[in-house]
Amino acid sequence: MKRKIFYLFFILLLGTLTFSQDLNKIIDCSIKASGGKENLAKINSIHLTGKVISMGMTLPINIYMKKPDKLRFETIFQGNKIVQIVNGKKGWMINPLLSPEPKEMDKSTLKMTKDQFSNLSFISNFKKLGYTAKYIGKVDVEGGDAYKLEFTKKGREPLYFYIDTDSCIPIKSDFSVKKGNNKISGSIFFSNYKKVNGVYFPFSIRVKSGRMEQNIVFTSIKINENLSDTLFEVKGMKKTKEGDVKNEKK
Amino acid sequence: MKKSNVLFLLFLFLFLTIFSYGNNSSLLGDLKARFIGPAVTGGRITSIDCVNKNRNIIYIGTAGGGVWKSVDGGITFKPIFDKHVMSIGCVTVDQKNPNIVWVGTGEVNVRNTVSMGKGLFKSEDGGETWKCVGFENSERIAKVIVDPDNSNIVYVGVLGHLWNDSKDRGVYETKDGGKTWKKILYVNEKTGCIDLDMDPQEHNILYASMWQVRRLPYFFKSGGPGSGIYKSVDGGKTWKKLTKGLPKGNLGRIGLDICQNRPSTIYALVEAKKTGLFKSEDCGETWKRINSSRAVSIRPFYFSTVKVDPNNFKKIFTLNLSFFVSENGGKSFDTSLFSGGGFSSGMHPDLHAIWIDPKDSNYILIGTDGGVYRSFDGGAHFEFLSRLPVSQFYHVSYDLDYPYHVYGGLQDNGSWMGPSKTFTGSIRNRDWKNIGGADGFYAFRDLKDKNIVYFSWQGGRFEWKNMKTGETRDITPRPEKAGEKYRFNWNAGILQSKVEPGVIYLGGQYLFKTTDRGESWKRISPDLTTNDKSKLTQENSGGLTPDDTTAENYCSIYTISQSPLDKDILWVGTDDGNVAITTDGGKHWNQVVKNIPDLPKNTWCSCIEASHFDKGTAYVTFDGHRTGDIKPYIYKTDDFGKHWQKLSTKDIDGYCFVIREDLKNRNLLFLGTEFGLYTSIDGGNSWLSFEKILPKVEIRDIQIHPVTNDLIVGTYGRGIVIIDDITPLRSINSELLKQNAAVLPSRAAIEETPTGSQDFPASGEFFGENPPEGAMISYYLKKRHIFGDMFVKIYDSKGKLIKTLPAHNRKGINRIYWGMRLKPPKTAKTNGLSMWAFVGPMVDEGTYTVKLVKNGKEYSGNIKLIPDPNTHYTREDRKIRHEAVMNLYNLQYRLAYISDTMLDVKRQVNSLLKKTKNKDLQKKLNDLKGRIENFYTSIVQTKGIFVEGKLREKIIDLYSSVIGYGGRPTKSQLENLKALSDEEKGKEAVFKKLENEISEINKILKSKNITPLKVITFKEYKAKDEKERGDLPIEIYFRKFGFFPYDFLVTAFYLI
Repeated sequence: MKRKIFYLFFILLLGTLTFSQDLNKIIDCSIKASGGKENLAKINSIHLTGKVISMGMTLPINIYMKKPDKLRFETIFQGNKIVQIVNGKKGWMINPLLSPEPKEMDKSTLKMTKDQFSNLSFISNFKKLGYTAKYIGKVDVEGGDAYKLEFTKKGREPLYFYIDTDSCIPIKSDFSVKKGNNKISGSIFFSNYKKVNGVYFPFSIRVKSGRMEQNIVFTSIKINENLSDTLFEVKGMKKTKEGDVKNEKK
Repeated sequence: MKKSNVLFLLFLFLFLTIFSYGNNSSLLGDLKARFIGPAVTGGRITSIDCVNKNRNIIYIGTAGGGVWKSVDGGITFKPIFDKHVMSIGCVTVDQKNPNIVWVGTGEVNVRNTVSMGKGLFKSEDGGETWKCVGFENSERIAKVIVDPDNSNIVYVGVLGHLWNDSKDRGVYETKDGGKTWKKILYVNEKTGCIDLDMDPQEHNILYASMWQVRRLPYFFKSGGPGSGIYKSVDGGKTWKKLTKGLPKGNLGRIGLDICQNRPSTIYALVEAKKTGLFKSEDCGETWKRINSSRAVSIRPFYFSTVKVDPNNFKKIFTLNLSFFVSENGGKSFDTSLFSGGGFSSGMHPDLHAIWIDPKDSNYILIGTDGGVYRSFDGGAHFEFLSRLPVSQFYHVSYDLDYPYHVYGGLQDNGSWMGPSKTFTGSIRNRDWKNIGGADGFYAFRDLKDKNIVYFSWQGGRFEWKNMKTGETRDITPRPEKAGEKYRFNWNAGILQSKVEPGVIYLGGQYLFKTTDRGESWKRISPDLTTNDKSKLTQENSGGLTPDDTTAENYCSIYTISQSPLDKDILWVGTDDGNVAITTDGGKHWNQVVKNIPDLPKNTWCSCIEASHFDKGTAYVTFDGHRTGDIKPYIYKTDDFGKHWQKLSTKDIDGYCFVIREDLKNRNLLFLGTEFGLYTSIDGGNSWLSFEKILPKVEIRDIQIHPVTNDLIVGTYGRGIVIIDDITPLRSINSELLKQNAAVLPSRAAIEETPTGSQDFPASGEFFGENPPEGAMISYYLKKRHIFGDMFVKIYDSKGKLIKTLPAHNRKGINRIYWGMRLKPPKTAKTNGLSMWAFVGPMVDEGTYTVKLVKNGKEYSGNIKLIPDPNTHYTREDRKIRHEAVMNLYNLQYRLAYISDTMLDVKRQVNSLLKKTKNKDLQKKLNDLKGRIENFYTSIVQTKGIFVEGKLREKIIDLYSSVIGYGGRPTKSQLENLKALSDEEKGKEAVFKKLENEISEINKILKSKNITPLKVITFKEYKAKDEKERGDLPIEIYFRKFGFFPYDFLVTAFYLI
């Protein structure tokens, strides 16, 4: 009888260990499931093409990101191309509907944009980015189990990731952004994962904040295209009389 | 141990592990509760605290709606306690560390319908997250005070159970921030702590007032030998009962306050045989009665707040039916100077909570039965903070308008009606209409006359109101024989018959029936209650202070139900635990409660629901909390009450108020309890909680709208909640749950007639949520979709793909919305915004196929689009409008093509001009350029924004006018369309001429081996447009943020 109890205890202990997987195990598992450290480290630039969709209406987006902190974001509205650029030091918006000249980003917007875009491959890079991680526990995410991880950094709002317990793939993230006295928080849900250059990317992203819901669907994700630095410079861009903007060196 | 045993245990363990993964409530998935208010009238406020150093941070504790926080001085509030029990006894901010907030749950203003709490909670992050730190069984916590010097030292006053004895009562102390607790003052199991205070200078000096109080279902008693004021001078180690100068004999509820700038002076509102305000000027050792007027003695069990101005020890406030103030240390009180108090002043007359800014005594927040009021001038004037949707509904109903209205009665805030949806963005305070006053219960519209709305108030009072003229008529049944007495519950059962339009039933001890709008009543039953005379002594109720407000009325009919299949089958449930049925319209009655197993005798029958499918079937709930029994009791009979099956399971938390059977699916049930909403998809064998969709708020009533299939939920603390379209739930059964995915049926989507309005309310108001716009599409996923493509595609009746929508990917029911519109019109490029060209035309009415495509596998269903039921336009009218809209839509497209194409040519010309030195060619190119510029500026307005001008703008203007109205365009508009079409034809001719001119130039260019100018074809233009043009009104973001809101977008990129 004693032996039976011992075995039962042993099995329960085993179970407890299974349930309280530590932080490193979960992060390792997630990195592996996403494509592995090596493949993730190889990413230098990303070119995303897709749409933002809200209430069934769509906005085309074209985004170029180059490590560590260059960004170009393009969209077209009523025939006008609207561009936002960060060259790593400065940022601009060119919106012919508002102004004929490029408008320089204020410091806080630039900082926020840079901060966020510099966080590519966050889960494998969080230490380098100065974050501390904590395993909160196993939680329910929309009816399925997920490991909840908390990432904190001084002066930042905490960020949470939820890792699917079956596949080790991130399925949700909670975020907050402070804008003056306003704090915007919400959740991001990841879906439609597909492999690109050996790395799993979510081709469908749903962002929920209060009553607002947006979907971002990518039709193409390209890794390590040869993106020229001029793509991220406002210099050389000019506005034509009719209100279009082009980058002549592109 | 055998190997097989180990394997068995391992298997068992794995099985349990897998089993425990299951959370069936996840099936409810994307179903969403929308809160529509109202906030025009509030609910009871029990506690207010602010951060002393920053009064913009406000915490509000409510009787049934949880805790709300404002960080902007009360302009906006958000609920911060929604995962926990909603009845709040007190909220306390730790002023040393204002991020630490304590919430004691369970209100202590122990009226008959008070809710219960489940422990003490602590937040260390300003209310973002909460942790229960004990007292789970306390039910009611009156006070939490924190040592101003040491955040780890906290004292808690527990009032405890109201309806039965409890040893949890008393005063407790922690010295480790809530990890461990020690009971430091206990009187007996009938007496709890109602107030607690600490000397602001000597923190070891504590004062506690203890209250012996008890409710029974039919009686209330405030006061007893246990009540009194206690003092400790050693941080709670020892206590002394203070008696000198206080009334002899039994005491009741006692409210305390210490003068902050003179702590030796303490005020106490003491309920006694002769209630009064007492004052001690020697730290409680001796007391003097200083006032016994109404200002200090009204309904002391409900009101006992006394507050000393923190900056003026002679200025005293008492809160009860009015806001009373004394400027002479309590000798005399006045309300006349204060327009904030009393029935005529505009402030709700029942006051419970107060916060005065310690740095500015003119700033006062008051919590009442009707919400929060604020004064900036010491109470001379008050404003109502009309943005807290914490109203407490007893019953709800609906009408059949589109959009339908909801009706209901509120605790101490009368009866109201409001729209389930508006066309102005949200449901606002102005959209609600008051029907009647007092405590409201039932409210419903006459089935024949839309202007007549019935409403009831406490003790069976029943009236109707003509909403057009405002006149009201009391139609309460009254005894018609000398000496006869009718007994009505405080919340007397009323039923508006759905099967006999015009018939209303009202329950006293007898069941009454009217067929003539209350002009006459017929008694159709004998006394159906126990008529236990020992429980009919309400005139003596109240304890020390007589309090017979009908709140304890007993032995009366509480709930009535009629079979939708047979008007003669009526069910009646009584507050004293009887269930009776008649099958012949009231000629004969059977008492059937004796047939119900495992039900304690005399348990209050809270709801009966006769089945829509079988005459003999009914569902009954019982609520025993008034005798301390908080278990759920649910039963079903299939044979008119002869036999009963128990439907309550361990899935359910809290005593039950209401059960409803779905109108279409007999296995689909809805249940409301003290702690939230539940549903069963298997006829009551198991229950799913809505806790992820709706807070754990008390659910008092549930209705299912027969047309929209909405679930209308009356909550006791969060107003009316609507869960839109439960059609998908109706199709869930065990077979469906086995499938990997399925498109579920949804209600038909309405193509609404356009409407418009304008106002700028900013933030300081509650905005009730409208249903999401667009057609609701629902589908089921057995498990979360993670890998590979999944989209929802919409096809028209000819099989043409109309729209591809991104799909939600959660387990259970998923719900997405389709806007039912084409892309907005393509407009010619300009540097101005075309504000009126953001809206695309509606797709045609009809049935569309919905396909969920998951990794290549298709799951099909359909969605029907129907015209607006309010529309008075004929199909022919709508057809003509649609044609005009599409003509203008296509005109804009064509104009965009010819304009954009020529701009493109102009760019090519500019490029060529830089390269060529040939003077002749230069001239030709410059001439062409000039003509293109003239052409372009004749089509498009190029100067300024919002300027009406050229052809493009004229077409957009007409488009906006035609699309902005649901019917046939005006004659003038149709003529204008023709004129603009002609004008466009003129532009096409110029375009053609320019094309010819370009061809000529191209010949020259070709001869010089220069790349010719390219004029793209309409087909190429359209293909490019399809590929790159979106239809999101991005200008909204630019106007709001200046930049595109990366916040959401880029945070998503953390992952990649």
